[in-house]
Amino acid sequence: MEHLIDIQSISKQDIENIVNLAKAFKNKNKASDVSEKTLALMFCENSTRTRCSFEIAGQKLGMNIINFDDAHSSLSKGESLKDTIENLYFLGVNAVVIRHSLSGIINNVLRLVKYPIKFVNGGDGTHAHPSQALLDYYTMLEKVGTVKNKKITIVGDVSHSRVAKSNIALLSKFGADIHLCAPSYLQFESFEAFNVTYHSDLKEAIEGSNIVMALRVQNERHEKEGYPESSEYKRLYEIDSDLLKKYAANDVILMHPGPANRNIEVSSEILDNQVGKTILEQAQNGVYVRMAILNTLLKEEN
Amino acid sequence: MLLKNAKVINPENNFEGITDIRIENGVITEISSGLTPEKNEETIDLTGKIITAGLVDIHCHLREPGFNAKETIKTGIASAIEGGYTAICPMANTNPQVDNAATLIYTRKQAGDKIGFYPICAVTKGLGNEKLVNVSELIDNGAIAFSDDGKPVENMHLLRQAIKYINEHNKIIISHSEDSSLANGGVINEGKVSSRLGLKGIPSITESLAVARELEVVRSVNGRYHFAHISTKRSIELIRQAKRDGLQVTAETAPHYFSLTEDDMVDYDAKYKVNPPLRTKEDLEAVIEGLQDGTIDVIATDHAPHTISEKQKPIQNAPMGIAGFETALGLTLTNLVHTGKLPLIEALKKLNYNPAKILGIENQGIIEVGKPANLTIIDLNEEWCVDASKFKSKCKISPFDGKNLKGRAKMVIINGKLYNIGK
Repeated sequence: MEHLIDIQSISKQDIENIVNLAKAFKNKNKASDVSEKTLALMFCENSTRTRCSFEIAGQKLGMNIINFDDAHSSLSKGESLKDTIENLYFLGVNAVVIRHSLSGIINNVLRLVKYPIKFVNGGDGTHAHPSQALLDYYTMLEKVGTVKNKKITIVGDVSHSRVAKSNIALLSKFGADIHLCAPSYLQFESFEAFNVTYHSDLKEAIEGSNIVMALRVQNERHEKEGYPESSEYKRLYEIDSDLLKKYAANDVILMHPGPANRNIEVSSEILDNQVGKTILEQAQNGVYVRMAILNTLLKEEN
Repeated sequence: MLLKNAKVINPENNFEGITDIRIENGVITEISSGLTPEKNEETIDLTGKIITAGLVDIHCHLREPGFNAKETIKTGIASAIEGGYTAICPMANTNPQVDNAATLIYTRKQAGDKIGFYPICAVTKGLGNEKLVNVSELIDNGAIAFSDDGKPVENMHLLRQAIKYINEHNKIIISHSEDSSLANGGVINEGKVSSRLGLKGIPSITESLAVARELEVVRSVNGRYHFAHISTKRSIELIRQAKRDGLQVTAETAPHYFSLTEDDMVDYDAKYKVNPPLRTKEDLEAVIEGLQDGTIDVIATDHAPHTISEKQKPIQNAPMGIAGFETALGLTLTNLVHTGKLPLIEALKKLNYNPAKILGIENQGIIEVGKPANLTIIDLNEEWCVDASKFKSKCKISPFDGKNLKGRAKMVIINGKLYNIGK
């Protein structure tokens, strides 16, 4: 594994290795191999948990960490991302985590940068969020053992969701039965895009699900035209305890990549009860999974 | 000058045969086999080569004035000659736009007489979709056709007026058919690839809706009209039906629409970014069918050069366009002729005779005694590899870089003057 750009470009073995390493970090059975390395966090789009999670992961690994804020950097002077990253490499940065609003920006920069800095995609536009998919997978394994043949239903703003795309890519590799549920205005433009089952009816989609993943309704990405207000979404797609009790499997797991819009895609009541706790555990596992990602990428450099 | 032993292919009269051509003072004086060189006459043996009427490109962007870093009229002409063209028709979306006589005269002066240079002028002032240009004044100063290419004319009242008035002066509008509310800032074709990559899509109806609407306008005024860069199956169906109904419409496509699909775009690389976008395999097949049955009359380059640094931007921010002059003939021969999809003479007709005829360009697209010698000499079987870094165009980036092609132009003769290619 050279970089972590998207799930498609890493192998099943890479994923299994990261999961195992994350488990070792969580159980305190593993020491850092990368404490001498320097990590740059380049977040050009708002983020709380991903940035904090990578920062804490780097700290736990003993790394030097620099935070790079778009508004106060040379990027705002028009320095291209490529030039900035090449400069960081010469300052001694070994890996850079990038969060950006443009899909594919890291693919673009990777093609142009001539020096062996490691890239981690911290979420690019509506393309990919591979570290999120890896921590989601890790959490699923903790909860249900295996995803093979499990009915996993992703509900919500599918078309704008990099989390959904990375989860579909990952869960497909491990034989999950993947279902997507969204109103047409939030669904992928082409049903040929991914080999999954598509639904517009929430009850039908939830029926018998072992795992339900709610996505954040990304109002900021919805242009003015062609989208109703989020109250229209809530009427038909809000997930609450009654719905899960009535239609999902008995031991259903509810997940959400965060931040959740309370009482839009998930009810406030479910977020605060025992079922909603998994969402916090996802965030916790994110630290160990990101430690595993950084350790794997930078150890290989030796 | 005596050109000997080439196979002459003249799409105008469907002549195909080995014969000799004599050129004196820039004019073809004899076409006959067994011509013998006169004393001191330059003689070129073209055994195994093809001579056809010079290629005519009715859709290109030379960027001057205003965007000289992308291309200049001089480098654009050098690139066109390298691709085997003897006449070109640059579009008006420069800065200032070619919507006035002064800019038109300036571009013609910059071009000189090295190549047949027939500018296309804007339909509306500033490509602004409001005020019709001074049509007769521009024609008197050399406008060959009218187009707001790069932008659609979306005011249907204005379009209707423009078609009537421009037709009244025996010229036509070339349409950039696009519904901008549907294009809506899209980056690539809308479909499985845009969904997977998380890129905003341009649905295929963006083009076909505009084609349908414009066909109704053309029908209502019994106008003559030309559709640029047609890329979708449904647009081709609409134009096919319109032609059956007797409408005086013609259409062009560009080589990338029969050579590449959305699936070829790799890794968010903006060198594949073009408008209209690369479509699906089904659309590509429909484009080829349209070329076969004559729905599509012309293969135009839509040469749209940009600098490397612009094309290396993130795909969302990079400009649309592919450098087309130096690969158009090779792609046509490789992907249409050598594959058996189009007979050679039919392919050539869409590169020389048809475009000249549609825009009414005199002395181009024909091989006739008494007419100026505008010819392209082709090696049908030469295998070569596209090297964008060696393009004569300023645009040294291409989705075809590194591709192996079969067949290319070896020389062009423009008003009797010979240019060697690849030297």
